[in-house]
Amino acid sequence: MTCAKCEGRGYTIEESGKLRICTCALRERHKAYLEPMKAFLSPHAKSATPAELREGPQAIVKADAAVLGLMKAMVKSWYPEPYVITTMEACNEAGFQRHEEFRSVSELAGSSGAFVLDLSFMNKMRARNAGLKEGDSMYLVEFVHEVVTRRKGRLAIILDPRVGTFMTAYADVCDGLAELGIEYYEGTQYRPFSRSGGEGGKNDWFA
Amino acid sequence: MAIEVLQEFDYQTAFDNLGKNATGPMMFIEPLDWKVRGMPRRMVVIAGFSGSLKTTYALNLAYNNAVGLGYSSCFISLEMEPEEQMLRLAVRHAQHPKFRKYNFSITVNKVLGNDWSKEERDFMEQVVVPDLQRNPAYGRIHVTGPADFQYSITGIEGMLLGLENHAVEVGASELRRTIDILIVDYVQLLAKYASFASGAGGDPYRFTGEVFSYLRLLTGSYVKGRGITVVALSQLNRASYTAAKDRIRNARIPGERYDYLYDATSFAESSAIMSDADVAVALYCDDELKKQKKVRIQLLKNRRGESDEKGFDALAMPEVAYVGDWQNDAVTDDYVGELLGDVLAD
Repeated sequence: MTCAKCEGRGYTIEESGKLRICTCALRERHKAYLEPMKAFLSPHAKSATPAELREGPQAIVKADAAVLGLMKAMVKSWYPEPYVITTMEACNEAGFQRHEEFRSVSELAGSSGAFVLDLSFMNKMRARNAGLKEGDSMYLVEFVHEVVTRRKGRLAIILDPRVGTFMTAYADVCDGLAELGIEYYEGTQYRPFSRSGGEGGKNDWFA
Repeated sequence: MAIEVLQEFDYQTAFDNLGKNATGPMMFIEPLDWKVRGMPRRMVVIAGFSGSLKTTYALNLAYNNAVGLGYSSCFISLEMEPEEQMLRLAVRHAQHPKFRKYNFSITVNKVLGNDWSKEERDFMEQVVVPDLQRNPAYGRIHVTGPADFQYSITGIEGMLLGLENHAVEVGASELRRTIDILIVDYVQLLAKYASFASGAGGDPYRFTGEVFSYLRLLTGSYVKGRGITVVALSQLNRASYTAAKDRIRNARIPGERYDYLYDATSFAESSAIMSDADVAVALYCDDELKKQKKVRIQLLKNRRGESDEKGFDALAMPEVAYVGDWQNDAVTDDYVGELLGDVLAD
């Protein structure tokens, strides 16, 4: 259907003679921009209300309301900066020089001005395997530090809903994130990262 | 004694003249206008590497000053055929708000590719072009090629006077009788043409400097001191462009990769360009910015006030020959709410 505002031109003309990009054209671009974020939403996302997230680097516990809130923040303050969804594994690959494209964590962090760090995948093996954890924590914190402090980039971390387990398994990472001033949004509020999530973590697996 | 000498200065006339000289032609991009505050009898340089939309911006500058403020321009187009410039100008005028009711979408590609309907052509022929050419409230824009000034820099003044005399002879409206802005696209090419014609040849650096100094002189001396605003388009040197591209690719802080792209040493072939200019603006546009409909603008020199070396974004729509202010006020809470609804519905 042709946009009634711009009659399909993609821009509108103001009384002053200035041209503006029409919201219909802008909407198409924003939709394409948010497309990769849809992977973090559940089929029930339609009924969720976007959370009001604050600006700056932060973590969110994966829930539809928080992800929608993040998408809102991305449209408002990230766009048009292209963002990359990356993972703990990518940080390790870069750190251990096994990454196809980047030879260091610094190169990975410099590859974009905005990152969504997907830590939403948590399983028993990853949480309890000591070797994997050490590698993860070593390069993950370095990556976050590089993006947030050195390159002043935009960063959102998406945590698994079993956040207690994450804190138990990745206490070093949590310490690092807390030192960088990053807090996580869960439910309706922000909480600081701490090692004390251990107790909660025990119950996460049976919840 | 020194005080007495100072007292001989006619302050009253100087104060009276301040008002007359204060505004003049404008740059029609708000962040520039707030800092430059008009360019009467100024030497303005618009610099950029090939494809950075400097010609489109200069055309908009001529158009907006003619339609919005009634100033007339002479546009010396050495790179692009004058006929093509006139067609682009007509496309630009087709975007005027008063033509919205006709509901035509006229683009540069449609016109230059002759890919338009009969109705669209009729609209341009019968509505847009007559208004652009005959509306007495508008200044005029005369686009000329190198042949019109006989390949000589001193021929430029003769050509401008000829245009003014001709306008009086044919009884043109008051606004169209004087030429207020001279636009040269671009100064290095003018220097090349003029040096070949004069047989000077040889050193392009020296000749570009001489051409530029002549244009600078013209701003104050044209028609016995009436003066003229000169807007000279200039190429940037290859080294600066390469350095800018490199900085964008390997920016330490990616979010700031388009900041501080060029500096005063970036102008091609002559340092006189920067030293003689009152206002120097640099444009940058690459594929990524083109996708976003943006051009990056830096105000590198402003003799009368603040500059902006960091730069800012302006809206670029070459498909309708438009460069103007970027405004991002569409992203309201309501808009984002609807957008998320759309995203979830897909």
